[in-house]
Amino acid sequence: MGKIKKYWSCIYCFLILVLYGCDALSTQMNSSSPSVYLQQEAVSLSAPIIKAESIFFDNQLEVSINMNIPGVKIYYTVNGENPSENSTLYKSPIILEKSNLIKTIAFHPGYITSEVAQKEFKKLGASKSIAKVEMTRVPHRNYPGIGELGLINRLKGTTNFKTDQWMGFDGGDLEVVIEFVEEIELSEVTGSFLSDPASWIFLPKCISVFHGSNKNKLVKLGTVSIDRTKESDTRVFRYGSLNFDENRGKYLKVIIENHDEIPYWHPGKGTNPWLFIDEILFE
Amino acid sequence: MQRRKFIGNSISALAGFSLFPCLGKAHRMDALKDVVIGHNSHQYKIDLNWGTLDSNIYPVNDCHEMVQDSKGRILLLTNHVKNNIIVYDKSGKLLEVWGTEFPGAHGLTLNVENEEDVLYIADNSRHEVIKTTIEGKTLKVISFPKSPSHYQRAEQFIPTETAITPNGDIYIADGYGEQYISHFNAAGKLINIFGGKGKGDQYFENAHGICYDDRDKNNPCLLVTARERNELKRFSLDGKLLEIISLPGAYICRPVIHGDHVYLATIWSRRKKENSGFISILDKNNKLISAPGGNVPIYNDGVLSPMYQALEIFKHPHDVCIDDEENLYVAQWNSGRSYPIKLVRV
Repeated sequence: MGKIKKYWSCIYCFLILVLYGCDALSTQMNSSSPSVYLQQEAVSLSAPIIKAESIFFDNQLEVSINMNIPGVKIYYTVNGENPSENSTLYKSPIILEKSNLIKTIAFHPGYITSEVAQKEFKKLGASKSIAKVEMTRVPHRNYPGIGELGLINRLKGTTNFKTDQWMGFDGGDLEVVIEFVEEIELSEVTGSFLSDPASWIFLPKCISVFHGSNKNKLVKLGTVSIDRTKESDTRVFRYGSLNFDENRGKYLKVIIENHDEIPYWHPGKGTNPWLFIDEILFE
Repeated sequence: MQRRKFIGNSISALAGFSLFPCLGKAHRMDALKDVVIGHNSHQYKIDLNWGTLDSNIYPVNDCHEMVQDSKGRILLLTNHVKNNIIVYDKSGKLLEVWGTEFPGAHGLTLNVENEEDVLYIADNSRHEVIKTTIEGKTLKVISFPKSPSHYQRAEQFIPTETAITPNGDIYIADGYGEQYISHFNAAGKLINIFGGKGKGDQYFENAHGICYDDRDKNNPCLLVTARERNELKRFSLDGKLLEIISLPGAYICRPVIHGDHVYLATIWSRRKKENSGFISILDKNNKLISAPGGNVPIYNDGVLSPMYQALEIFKHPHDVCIDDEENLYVAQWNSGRSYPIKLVRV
């Protein structure tokens, strides 16, 4: 009888081992209260971090991807496709020679694969010399940025609107006139804005571009509308780009038209949307 | 297959999942691996069951800070006025709760005075620091420093943390207010004010945490976090800046000394991305040696490479308590009203 009991208790132990795993069992025996440790297969890797000196560059740019935990493998694409284990394995910094969207993901044999991280890098033409930047309004006193020249210094703000690169406007439109040292040819103008509805910051409605040699008789080259801030946006940059046939001129005017009201889904609906801009770019 | 993710506020659901991970996929026994976080000498497993209570009876909002008392009990400070203090034993069993008068309960410092444990609660809604017995009886209330050149109104004073020296002096960090460190003697007289807002090294942006550092018995000093600058600043007891310990990327909340090490809950990394926290552990030379939940710390020519969250385990760690068995308890701010997480040293 005793032998049979022993036999069954052995089977019972074995079953527990199978069900709980050795680690969990030893924990239960050693600890004063039953504890269960978090398992790797329930934990995600954080997304890799894409780093470069600037989002904009003239000739080439070195981009590194960081995610340092033992056993991790980082894969990336530069063509906009979602990365997978079939994409390029990241080993050393990437050298970009043209505008690219980098997407990257981290894999590990134990942990859940990370979310995709992405960052867009823009190659600009050779530096254009700028004589003067004028704005029709001054930014809100709490968010002055570093003044007009901050719009063309090619330093992007982080997604934290409190940093120096961002200028904030409490509703309303904005008009910016850039005077070049001499006449130049332009084919693209881009505005860079922040979308951070949790901080009551929204994207503008559209931007219109004027260019020409006579400051008072600029030619309208077009208007591009910008997708409205989404409820799901959490601190993201958005660009509004207008492409046009090469045009020659000394003055560039950009009118940024704001929405009249914060959209219906936001607690601030019906009030002025904040506009945050950090750069105006041109090629 | 969509695998279930660990998130702080669904610990109990996950515990069930972890108990029977291989039912239906017994061939994957090898996949059953405990998470071990941290580096070098300081590595930990994560206890899923510790401290979770019935939130209808013992609710928490932000779990701000934790300390271990002389009896070995673990005290949690939350800004939920139904039970501002929740007392556990080390196994996570609830022992008692008290406190209904601390709506802005934020900083919790334990000091032993005349062989009795006393608590200093920094309340940033009341604009006061309240000294209590370990049972919750109020002993003293300290309001804003009476120094008109620094403070004109009580509301300017938004204390986040206190540090007490062996002779009873009290330092209060005004981390959400004017950024001053106010130094009172044991009798409550204001002796000195230093820090404040400004661009220079001796100033603060979010002087969030402070502690008395007597690891060098001959030269005790203060450690103060400048959270927005990712810096830990060392000050003399009379308020002179001695050293800046830079922890790039790490938004550190308060320094906690245990043995030769400094432990710092790190509420964000990744430029303040939500839920990007981890824990930072410095050695006796104030070098980062372990970052549970974070990347591998690397120094190049004495400079720490930027730190960031590597595993999605913590959301917003706000304080870390180290018990007498070297285990950690992590209290989190704005993390789905979840209870603390225990890390068991391995």
